Amino acid sequence: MEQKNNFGLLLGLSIAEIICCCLPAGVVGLIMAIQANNAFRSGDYTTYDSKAKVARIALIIGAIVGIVINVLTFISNFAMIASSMGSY
Amino acid sequence: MKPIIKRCLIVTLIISFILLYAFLSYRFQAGFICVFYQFTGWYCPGCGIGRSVLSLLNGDWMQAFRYNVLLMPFIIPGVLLLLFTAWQYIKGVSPQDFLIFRITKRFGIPIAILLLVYGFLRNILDILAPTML
Repeated sequence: MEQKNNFGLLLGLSIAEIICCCLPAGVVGLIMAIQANNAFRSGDYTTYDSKAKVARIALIIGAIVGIVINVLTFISNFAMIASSMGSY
Repeated sequence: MKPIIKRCLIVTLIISFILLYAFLSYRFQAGFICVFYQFTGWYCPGCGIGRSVLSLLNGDWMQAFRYNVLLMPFIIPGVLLLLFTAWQYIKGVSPQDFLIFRITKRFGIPIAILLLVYGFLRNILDILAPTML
């Protein structure tokens, strides 16, 4: 079966994560995506798979951390605003 | 359920969630927070982009540039590109063939380097920090 290179997808998600969610996870994803791409281009598909997997895990962890912290902050801010409106 | 209807529902759900979040953030002035800034106190390359969008919606272009001078010019093209990506997803295009990922495959490394340099510089140069004019 022909191996597919997900470099564009991993790089795009890493950039999105650097801008939106969690900079450290985005940087890890970026470095791993570049290393995976280099391994793919040299024909080392085992290294490609492992590096791409690390990149995916870093991106998923970063996205979860970013979303969870944002949702919790949003709920706490919303609750504070609602309680201050109710005190009038 | 047909796959195309399922994909339409997923896109509608995501867009509805984003619009609801944006409306509540705008209404109660309690927007998107930066996890990196919360933990380190340093600005990341994306800091100020939410406030930049709000300033843009209020017609205050100068303040929008002040909040994020690098990303502000790409807000409208970025939104259009995301909508096109959603359209490609609904049509059933493979993720590797999405236009947004073909662009990042070609220009992603220079973009990432530019973002990281900008993120570093805005912590040492006050003029790049996301503050009020």
